[in-house]
Amino acid sequence: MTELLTEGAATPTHELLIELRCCSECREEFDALKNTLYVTTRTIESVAPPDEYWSDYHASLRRKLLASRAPAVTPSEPSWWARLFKTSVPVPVPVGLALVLLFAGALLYTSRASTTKQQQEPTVVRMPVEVPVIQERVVTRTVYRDRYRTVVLRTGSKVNDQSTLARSQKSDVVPATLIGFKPIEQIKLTVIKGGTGNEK
Amino acid sequence: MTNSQRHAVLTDRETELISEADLIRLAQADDTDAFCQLAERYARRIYLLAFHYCRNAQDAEDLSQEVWLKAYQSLTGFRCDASFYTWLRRITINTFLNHQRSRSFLRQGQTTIAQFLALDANTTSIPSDLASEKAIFNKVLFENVMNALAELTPSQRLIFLLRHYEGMSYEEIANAMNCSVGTAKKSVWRAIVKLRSRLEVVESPREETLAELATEH
Repeated sequence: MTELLTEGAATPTHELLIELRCCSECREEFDALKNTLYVTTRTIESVAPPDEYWSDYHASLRRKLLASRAPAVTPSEPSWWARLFKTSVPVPVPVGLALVLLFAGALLYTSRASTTKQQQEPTVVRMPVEVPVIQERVVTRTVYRDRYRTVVLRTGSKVNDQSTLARSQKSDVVPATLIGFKPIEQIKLTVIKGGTGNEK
Repeated sequence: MTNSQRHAVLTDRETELISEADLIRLAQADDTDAFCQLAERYARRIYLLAFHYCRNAQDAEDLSQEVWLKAYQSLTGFRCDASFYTWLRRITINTFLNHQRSRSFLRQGQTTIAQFLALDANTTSIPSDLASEKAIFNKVLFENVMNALAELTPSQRLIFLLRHYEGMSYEEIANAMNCSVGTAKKSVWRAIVKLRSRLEVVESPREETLAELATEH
């Protein structure tokens, strides 16, 4: 039935026609759809605007066609900044003069202000600056050794070797006496001043 | 030869007798009058297709005139491989589809038959004397059909109109709509079913319908 309706009456098969004759429901459905199609197409075809409408229609179409054919000769609009430069505003002469004078005075004032600023001497500002202090220390150590004892120890028995060595090491740490001792150099301490107040 | 000179050569009588091919040739040579002659031949058909498609008289006028403008602008590309109307219908369908995508028309409401008649308030193919029974019936029927067409999707409506108003084959519709033949058939079937349910056309089975079919077969 779908084929019959969509394809039109040109292609109904013999079997389909027999089925439509036998099945009353199918026939009713088919008739309803066919009548729908008939009513719709006839109604669509029957409506048309009146003849008078067409004269206006063609006139407006002609106007549009002519307008589309003739390229619109519109001068390209200048940009806003070009317009800004070309635009003139009528101003009374006294007001114009006053504005010019005001502008000149403002220019003069600003130029003078800039020159006086340049002539001013540079001011020195003193302010404490924290600088890290690097301390350099040279320590000289004088070591005294009892040479004789060392020689004796070398010639002595091997059994007492370790104890002798320990004693000699002990004598290295604590010298017997400091009478007559004169250090070659003293501790040299270099202090870079200028740091914080606590440092010396 | 300038347009004015050519126009002087073409008197009214001559333009009536001039063939479509000659008009096309002249229009391709940028003769607006010749193109207007062509437009007068097919304007009603294009307008009504647009009217049933968008269901609004003003939209139909805009849409159909847009079709003519496009045709005018691309007329130089027309080769006489197909008929002028086939070429024009192709432009019409493309214009409709573009409008469907952009949805730049679809004004609110649709034109009723009273408004349609009011376009000139004088004469139409439907009698303007709405007092007569037939006229009232036609009015109601027209509005029912327009409401039923409104129930269809734009694609369904266009395919239905191309099939049953323009008489195009499914292959032609499929080509024009860029869809398969099966899709075109389905759309028509769905449109008919929707129209039936909206219009509620119930009629006793007519034997002549079958007889008619059988004889056509």
